[in-house]
Amino acid sequence: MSRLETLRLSIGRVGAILLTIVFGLAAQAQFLPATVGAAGQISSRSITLSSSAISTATNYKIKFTPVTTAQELIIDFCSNSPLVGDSCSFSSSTVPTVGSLTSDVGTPSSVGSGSPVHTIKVTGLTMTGGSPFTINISAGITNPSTPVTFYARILTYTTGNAANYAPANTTGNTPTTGSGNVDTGGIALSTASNIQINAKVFETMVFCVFDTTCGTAPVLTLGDPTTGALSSSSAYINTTAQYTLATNAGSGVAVTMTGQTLCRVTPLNFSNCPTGASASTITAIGNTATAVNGGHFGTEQFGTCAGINGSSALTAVSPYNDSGCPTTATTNGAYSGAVTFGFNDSSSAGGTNNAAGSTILSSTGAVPSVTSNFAFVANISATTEAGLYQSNLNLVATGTF
Amino acid sequence: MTLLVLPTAAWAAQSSSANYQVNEVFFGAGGALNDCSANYCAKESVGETAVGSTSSANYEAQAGFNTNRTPYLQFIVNGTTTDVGVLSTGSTTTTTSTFSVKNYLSSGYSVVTVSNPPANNAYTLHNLTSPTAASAGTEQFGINLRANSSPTSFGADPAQIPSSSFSFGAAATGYNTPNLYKYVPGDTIASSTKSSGETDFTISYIYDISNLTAGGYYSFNDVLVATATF
Repeated sequence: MSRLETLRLSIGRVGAILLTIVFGLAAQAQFLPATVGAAGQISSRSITLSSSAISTATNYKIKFTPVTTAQELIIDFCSNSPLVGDSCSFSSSTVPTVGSLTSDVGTPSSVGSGSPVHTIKVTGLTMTGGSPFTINISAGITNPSTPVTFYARILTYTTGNAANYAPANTTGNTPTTGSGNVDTGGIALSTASNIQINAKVFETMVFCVFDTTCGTAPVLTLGDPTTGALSSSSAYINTTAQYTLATNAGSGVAVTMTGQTLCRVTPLNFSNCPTGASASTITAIGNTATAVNGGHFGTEQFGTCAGINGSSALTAVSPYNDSGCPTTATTNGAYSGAVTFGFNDSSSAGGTNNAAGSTILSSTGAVPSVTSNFAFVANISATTEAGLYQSNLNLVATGTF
Repeated sequence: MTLLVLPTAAWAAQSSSANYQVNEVFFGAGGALNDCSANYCAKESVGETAVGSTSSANYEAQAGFNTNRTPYLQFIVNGTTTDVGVLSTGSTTTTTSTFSVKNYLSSGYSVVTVSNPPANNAYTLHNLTSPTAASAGTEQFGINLRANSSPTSFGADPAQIPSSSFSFGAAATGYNTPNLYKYVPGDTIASSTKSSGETDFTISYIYDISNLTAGGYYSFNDVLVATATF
């Protein structure tokens, strides 16, 4: 072997040894213990939004478990990467806008001067290593203005050192972690569109006053079943007038009655039947519920009451509200029961001769279908003028929706 | 030729303990992390024998040379405005909407519905607080995330994209039984217990009214919130 060949071989061996040493050092560096001061990775980390709607002021609830105890927190929102050490891109369409903050623990504040400000600092915390930590930021964060995936970088610091974090004030710049950083971790979040569903429900009102079925106008006779005449020795009742009422009026319904008491005119002309007692009328009972039996025989009375057939939604209004008011259309003849009746034929408010009528039924809310009866009664005195008496009553249901 | 790769000392660890951390270790036949032309870039590897997600009760790993170190959550709600018209006491009104979720490097995700039930000013449609069948004439509002046959054929089961080998999202309890509907604001309606490829969900809505349901316009602005734990 020549000296030259020996020299070449030696150089080759030296080169190979040097390469081996360099590679070994490099590999050893890769597996060396983490350097002192390197951040640990927080675990079980999440951010729960109260709403994913875009451009919405939203609560951000941050949960994580730190590796090491720390006292201060940085939350930095970036659109491009959750990794601490990467550059941070941001705009109001891609990351939350941070404003005046409120949190349930610690003292929160915004950090940086980017547009928008996208970084939160919270001091005065107790984040214990190995223990779950939760902070709810209830005000001061507005979601990005587009449906987008974005990231939060979480960094914990020891007391006084979160101020060392310098966020990117220009999109694409890289934040500076500074000294005192303890743990880090990244979280992905997303805003999303909303699903809007519209529906309509029609207002409904079913009100029918009838004899046997809806559509059959009730024409009632008060008097003796045989002669058809009233008597001063007995009261007579007719309960065959029925009604059905149903409505979805959420603020209730009122049924008002207008018309005169029994009026004697030939031909019939209600304008000749003034309110109160007169020679042309059978006197209405008035606005005070009164019985028509016993001692009331021989006294002019005309009145009515309204049944509600057990409805919990509908109420009969005084003086038409005796709970014993017959609820079945079966009675037509003499009446000696103790039920009280009324008929306010005043022309003042609340009377049947007032344009607004006298309220006989009402509810404060929607009414499921109710079918019941109106009961009409009459008494006459010994001096009641003979003749044909008639009352033409109009009932109106008004719902408030 | 000897190819020497000098490991870089990235301080932001992906996997770490109190004493050790590992960054992007690759033992393989070859590949490139950033193989770019003027217009396109590719991440390539050669010689992999197994790729994808694997998990046990407590741990999950993404196997393969080209795994990404960035956690990810994609949540797409196909936000539309739907008018279901006039509700009736005689039949149930139905409609559907869709959303999709996928995430990566997480312990899973949950999707919560946070909106109040449909409302007409101060009147709120009765929401079903337990899984219940639709009943025409009874005021009720509910949803599920399944393919239904009653009150009509509508909705769809969660669809795993590309397949159930990679995607694992599922309808949550209470919302996972066909033909039974429920709606409670704040409920989790869908979830995955681990990183998942895309799952496409279809929400099936039912509206029923009674004779007492207040008239007017009912608006429902369904806000869904997806939260992933990393």
